Amino acid sequence: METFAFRAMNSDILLAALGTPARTSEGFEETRRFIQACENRFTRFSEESELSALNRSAGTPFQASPDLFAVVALAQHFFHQTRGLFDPSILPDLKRIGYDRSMDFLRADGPAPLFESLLVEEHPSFSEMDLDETRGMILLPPGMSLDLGGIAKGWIAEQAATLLSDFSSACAVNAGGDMFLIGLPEGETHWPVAIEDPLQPENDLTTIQVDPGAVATSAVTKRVWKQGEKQRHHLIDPRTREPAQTEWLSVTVIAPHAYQAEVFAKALLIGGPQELEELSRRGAARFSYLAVDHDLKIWGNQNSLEGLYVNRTL
Amino acid sequence: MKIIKTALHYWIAIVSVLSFLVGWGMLAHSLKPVQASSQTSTQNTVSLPALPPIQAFGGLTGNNSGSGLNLSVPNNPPPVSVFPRLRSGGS
Repeated sequence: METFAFRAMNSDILLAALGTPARTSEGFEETRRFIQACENRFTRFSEESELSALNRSAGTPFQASPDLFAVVALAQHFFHQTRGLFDPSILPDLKRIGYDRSMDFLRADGPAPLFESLLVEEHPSFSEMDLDETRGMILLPPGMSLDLGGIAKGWIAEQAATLLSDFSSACAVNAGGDMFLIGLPEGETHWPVAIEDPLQPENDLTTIQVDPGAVATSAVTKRVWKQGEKQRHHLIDPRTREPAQTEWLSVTVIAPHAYQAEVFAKALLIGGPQELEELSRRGAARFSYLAVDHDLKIWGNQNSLEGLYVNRTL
Repeated sequence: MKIIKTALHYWIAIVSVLSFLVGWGMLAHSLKPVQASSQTSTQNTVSLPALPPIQAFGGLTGNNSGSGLNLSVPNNPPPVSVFPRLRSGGS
């Protein structure tokens, strides 16, 4: 199996494909170009991106590209399905706690001053956003701005894998832990996927064997920084509009689609055990998920026990 | 007269700075609205459902811990393949 690695979307991207070197090389190049074009469209860290243009348009209808419209429509669907635990309109809160530039720059320069974090401004609910499907228009209410980070990354990984599969019989796209798998490696019955130890990311906590489809992990230990004396991470709890205080360090979801895995990993992590029952009723029960608590104990739902071949590596 | 005006300017400037600092201190130590809403939200949470931990991971025994769930743990690890190492750890 051929592989190709590069950096995009502030993440390490790994492409893997089974096929002749000539075809897979061509596929890697096409896929890389696609991912970088998507990054230029969906990033909130560039004023030139389509997402930034949408955010600037708040209060007036915005003619969106089909791709942006598709991802925003998915975000709206999952906002309702998770009862608001997944909410892309928390961008003002992310900026308030210091995540106002890409993580690479944030780590190099340090976050925004602490005094800004005292000002919790009111902003409209994501439920107030309007979509016009026939014309592809998006209307953000005044004061709303979106961060499509995770759901866009999952969507891009799946689209990229579909593109790469035109050049190979089996392939994988791993976008910083959000991955989509098509087909199977030669002679294999599953894909092995290692789950990182949230406290020591250089180590693996376990390895799972998964069917083709999507795997995504959300962790409160991954994108962290200090703002003054306050420890911050990037997963905002929309109920408190502060970094989520959760009983779990990470949640991994295995689902048919990457955006499902990404959304439910985030919602389950933010909601924690208290919201598990409700989220299960609202769709999470259809997927397999593993949660890692503060003692590094792994918790799983019935599907994860029945459908995953789990091997402890530590 | 000019001395009085200058003194007045200095006096206003000093009082302004002191007032700002006092206000800053009060704001920094006051209860934030976020904390209040956080307390409210916990009143609406559902009770903790029993989710069985995968206890077999710890000892690699292959037995469950009375939870009624079976976890098969292989005696022999799968052979190492040539395909890439995929890792998921949060994005």
